[in-house]
Amino acid sequence: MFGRFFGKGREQDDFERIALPHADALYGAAMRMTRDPSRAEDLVQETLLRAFRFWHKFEQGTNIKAWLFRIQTNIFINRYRKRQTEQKVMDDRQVDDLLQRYAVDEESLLPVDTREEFLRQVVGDEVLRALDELPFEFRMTVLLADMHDFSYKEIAEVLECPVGTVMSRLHRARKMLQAKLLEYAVENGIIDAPEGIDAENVASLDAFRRRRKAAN
Amino acid sequence: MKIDCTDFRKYLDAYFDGELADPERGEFDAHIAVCGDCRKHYAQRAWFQGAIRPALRRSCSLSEGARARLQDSLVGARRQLRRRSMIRRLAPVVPAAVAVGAVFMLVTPLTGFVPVIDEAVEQHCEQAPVEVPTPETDELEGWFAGKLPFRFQAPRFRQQEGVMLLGGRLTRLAGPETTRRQAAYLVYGVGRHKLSVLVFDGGSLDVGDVGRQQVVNGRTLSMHDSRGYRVALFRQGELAYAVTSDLPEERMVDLISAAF
Repeated sequence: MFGRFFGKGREQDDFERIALPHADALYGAAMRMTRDPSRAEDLVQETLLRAFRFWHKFEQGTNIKAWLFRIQTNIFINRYRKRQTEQKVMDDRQVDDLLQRYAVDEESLLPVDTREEFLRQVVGDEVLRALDELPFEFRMTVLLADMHDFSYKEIAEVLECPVGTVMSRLHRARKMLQAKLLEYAVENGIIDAPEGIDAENVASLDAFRRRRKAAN
Repeated sequence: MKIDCTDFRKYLDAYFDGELADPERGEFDAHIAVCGDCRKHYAQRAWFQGAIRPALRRSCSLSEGARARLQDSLVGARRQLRRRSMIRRLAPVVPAAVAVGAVFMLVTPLTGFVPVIDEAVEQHCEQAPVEVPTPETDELEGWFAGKLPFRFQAPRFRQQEGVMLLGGRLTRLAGPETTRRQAAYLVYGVGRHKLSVLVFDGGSLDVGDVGRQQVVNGRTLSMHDSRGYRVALFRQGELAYAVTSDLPEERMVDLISAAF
């Protein structure tokens, strides 16, 4: 649909053919970065405009998707992220707290018989909401790996960090995500707290209010 | 070398993410077959990955409106690319004087808004009184009706942003073009700061590739610093807006994104 604007120049033709098909993938990522449809659209537009201007710097044959995502991530970090302070994101203390309570590892594997119920009720929006609450670096790592199938090396290029950092962030991020979803499921009575988790000691205002409401 | 439980759990992500070489995968598979505890971890991990991936991968598409805005922006970017390419081609083949003249003529439409920016700052600093002192946006627009060769919509700043309309007046812009453009000058108070908005016929003004650019609500803002002030220049249809203030850039962008 962009074709009529790129009639002659070969470079522009290449841009249309190679870069523009990734607009929706960029938007999907931008939504998780900004958590706002309007800002996500702006971010994608700015990303593709910048990519167009620097198209001569793109090395043909290299990974276009990683190149575009790197541009988008840099724009987001430099501009949009500063304005995100109002958004709810877990800080380090909350992350540690969550993982301590809901770390899904040796101590608390989710029982097989509760998985179906968990899966039936904790899907879609809850997963995205849980992802949105992860700190940016962790969110981006999961997003690139699990939404877009980037390799560890590609993620390292996009986020400009070592592969080892990608691996540790990914491991920690998935544990956070799993813990977050588990917390949601326990708090909402979807499943009982797996062994090793003392749900009674989990301080949740939402759960407290629900219990009070039910009692009244 | 056989893999132990510690490494198995440590590198289970890499196994699932397809990061292991075949021999390494073989070691993992062999370990799964003989270790019950790790098999549980493997099953849990497989289940979790299967549970969240479909949710994460739900398709997400740019809206038609966003695609249209992207098209418009790319048209502008392409036009500028052509101009620059023409300048590059012309430069080595024409005599120096002609080349200078040609470059000047070609560059003028691009840099033509630099005088606009100077003009915006000049008017912002002027202490000229407003002709219509009003805090009401509708009254302000009504006053300008018929006095300009174009109609425009004044920005709607949210009251909670602490922005107060002080009024407006007619003005003219002296640009590099031969005709002086009529313009509307609106002035606002933002706490102890002043913010002014110049509205004029954008003509061939192109904000596409100069200044610090950012996209807000699908619109490309071109940000400039001049004499200690910041000027945000952007187009809205046929009209161009120059917003000037000494507010921080982020605050200005936030105000513009909410009001236009």
